[in-house]
Amino acid sequence: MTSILQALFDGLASGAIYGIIALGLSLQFGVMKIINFAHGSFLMVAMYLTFWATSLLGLHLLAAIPLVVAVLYLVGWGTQRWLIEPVYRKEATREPISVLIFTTGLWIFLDNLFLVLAGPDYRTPAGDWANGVFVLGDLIFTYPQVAGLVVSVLVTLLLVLFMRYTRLGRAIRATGQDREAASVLGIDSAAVYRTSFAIGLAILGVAGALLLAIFPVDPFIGDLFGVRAFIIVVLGGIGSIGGALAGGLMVGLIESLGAQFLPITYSEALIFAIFLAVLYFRPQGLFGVERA
Amino acid sequence: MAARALLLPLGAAGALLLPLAFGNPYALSVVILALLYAYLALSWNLIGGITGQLSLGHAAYFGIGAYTSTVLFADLGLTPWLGMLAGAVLAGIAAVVIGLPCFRLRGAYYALATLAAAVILKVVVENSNELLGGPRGLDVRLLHDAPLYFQHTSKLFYYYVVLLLVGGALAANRWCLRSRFGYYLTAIRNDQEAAAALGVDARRYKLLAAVLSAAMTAIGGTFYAQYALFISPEKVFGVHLSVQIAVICIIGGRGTLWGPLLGALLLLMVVMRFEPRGVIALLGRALSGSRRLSGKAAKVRREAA
Amino acid sequence: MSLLEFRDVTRQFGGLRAIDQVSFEVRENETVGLIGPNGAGKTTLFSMASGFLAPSAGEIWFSGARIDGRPAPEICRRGLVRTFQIVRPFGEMSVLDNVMIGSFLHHRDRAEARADALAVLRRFGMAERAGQPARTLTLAGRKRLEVAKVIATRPRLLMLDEVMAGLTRVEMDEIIALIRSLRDDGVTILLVEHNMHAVMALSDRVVVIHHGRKICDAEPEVAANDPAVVEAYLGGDEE
Repeated sequence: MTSILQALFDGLASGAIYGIIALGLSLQFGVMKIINFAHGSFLMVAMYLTFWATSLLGLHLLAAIPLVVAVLYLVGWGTQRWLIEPVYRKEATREPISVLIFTTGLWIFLDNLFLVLAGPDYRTPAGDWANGVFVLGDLIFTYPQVAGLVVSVLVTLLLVLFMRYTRLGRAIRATGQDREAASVLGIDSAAVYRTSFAIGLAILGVAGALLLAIFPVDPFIGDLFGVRAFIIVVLGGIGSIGGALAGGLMVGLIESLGAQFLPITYSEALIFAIFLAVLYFRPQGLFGVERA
Repeated sequence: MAARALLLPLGAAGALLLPLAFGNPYALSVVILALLYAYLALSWNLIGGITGQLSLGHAAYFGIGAYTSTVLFADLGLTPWLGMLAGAVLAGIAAVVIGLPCFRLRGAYYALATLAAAVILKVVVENSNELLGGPRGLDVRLLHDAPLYFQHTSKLFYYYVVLLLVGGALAANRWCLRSRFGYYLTAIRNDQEAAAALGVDARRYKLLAAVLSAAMTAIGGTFYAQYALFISPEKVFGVHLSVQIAVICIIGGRGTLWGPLLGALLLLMVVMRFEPRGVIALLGRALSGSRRLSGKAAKVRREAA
Repeated sequence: MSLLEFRDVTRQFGGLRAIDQVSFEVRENETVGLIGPNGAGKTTLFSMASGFLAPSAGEIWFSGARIDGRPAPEICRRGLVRTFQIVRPFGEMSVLDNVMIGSFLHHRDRAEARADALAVLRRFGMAERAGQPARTLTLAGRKRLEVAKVIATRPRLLMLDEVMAGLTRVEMDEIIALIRSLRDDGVTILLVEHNMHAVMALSDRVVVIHHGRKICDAEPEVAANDPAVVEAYLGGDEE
């Protein structure tokens, strides 16, 4: 029983982080209808930035978050402005397949760039904080797990509020629903796209820092979590913020509870099998609403 | 015209004599790998390029090819030359199984679904310890100089085999582009519904293209197993392999005859110059290349719309 | 003899009845105009007859076989083809290659398909544009190509969906002449067209659809004076 409870908690804790990894992707997907295949690589970048902030600058892992977020926001803005925008603009009428191809290239490029910059070794954050635990009876909660859970839920909540109650958030939603109509209302869709992409990456900054506390980084870590983020986005329903968190929690739970009954890697196969089934039978996602 | 007619035999002769120009076996091994990538990109081109179905799961077929021939050789002593064909058949079947549900999906969904299918296969192999060696992989039993068993100590042997593969893949692509089959595939890429209105059974042709592409990719997998003499799930089923195959084809120009070869040649040049991680420089080109290409595609679509 | 027949065909979209128990037939060697105000459901009828949409109820028969719900390629092979209102050329391919996709239906061999396609292009006055990419054609050129593509499949019945919309008067007369010559060759034609002048000039008979229902099926002159038709076109109720 204890082990099931522990697995439940572990699953929720990592699932929450998966959820906010997927959040940025879902936002980009929902607003711009673009598929950013480099998402996992940007996560890897965020993790390395966190690692360097703790090891080179000596920052506490949590204190590194604002810094990483700021850098990723700028990286996101620049990537959209100077890399994706020129590709996107040419093909805005249909599904932008060239952006998909382009970001696939970016994916491989970033992975290899960081292989050169950081080497192939696994890295964990400096400092002892990540090793701290709360003990409650037989259950063990590590600091990073608790922080991950709390911060992830907080970030999701903030994003929901932002999208609902701020001018900018509403502009983003309007653009996502109908670009033409939004531009009639005087919304500059290019600016909205830059902001959306930047916000997507900024959230990844939070996720990267939290993830580094429970998972070591290497240049190809993005493959694992990036692909998983796509699965979560599809499971949760494209463009749905709450759906991303729910999808993340679901994947986290499948992973940790699955590991109780199945060989560890099979739970990964299970996730992908569920993903394929959802893609086939319910392409709008488990929590998404069917659109005409 | 005369010049063009000369180009092909000259190119072929050049390729046949190329190894003489290399003093060290290292250079030759880089060339062999580049040619293998060219072959894989040419195979991918049938479905990803000409038919426009962006598969990011071709490692599945590569892995099936590598494992089938290796297991048949290890357990039954079957020569990998025949195991290669068995792998191709199996991969073809896998392409049908993966393709039937996935072809309902368009664009990014198709890409994601194929990627997921490959990952599932990888996980299955990682978990089947007795037969397939699990996550650690399998060694191919060393026979040294046994060309009948697809093995040789000389790299030249592999060079000529892969050269033959590339030639075959080029011929397949050329035939495809110039036949009804290829015309139909191109039409499907442009507008599947419009093609259906002209009597083109899009699903059937997409499946045929996928099967052909998968079978060819599997043969590449067997070649790799015999060349490296070691395979593991990560190496032959990995996501990176799938993506690399697609990216090489796209850099060179997808849907064209010489594009995939060009993409692999670029890779070769970069690796030769910037060993060990020249891939970065290559992908610098990849980015500008895909922008150029996508620009073109966008123009086509805009004007078509 | 009836070549194409709609029998009580109904199509619902959600709660909306786009087509409501429509029945009519198109006889061999006949040219029938299918008209009606915007949103009447003409294109929906085409989509059902050509296999792109299954009827919610009712049957569609072509040349003695029931075809509703059959896949589009099969219906095309039976000799029933349609053009698209919003033209759909294969943009990256040349004009000739576009038409070859049609002519490949009867030729496996590339050279034969090519010769056939060239003959079609010559007839359509487009031979000199054969090598140019389809996306570079003018609208009139693309409309013409849309027809050329399906003619290359050698259809028995041709469903034309507004092939004259957006054309100038001269271009329109050219395409009317072309359709006449196709009819003289024995191709049966079902024509959706907004332009009344063209419909009256070409059709042996017109079928009028309004709000998804058939309200008239008669010779052009008769239909033009039918009170229900006049009512439908001149208003009375807004859409």
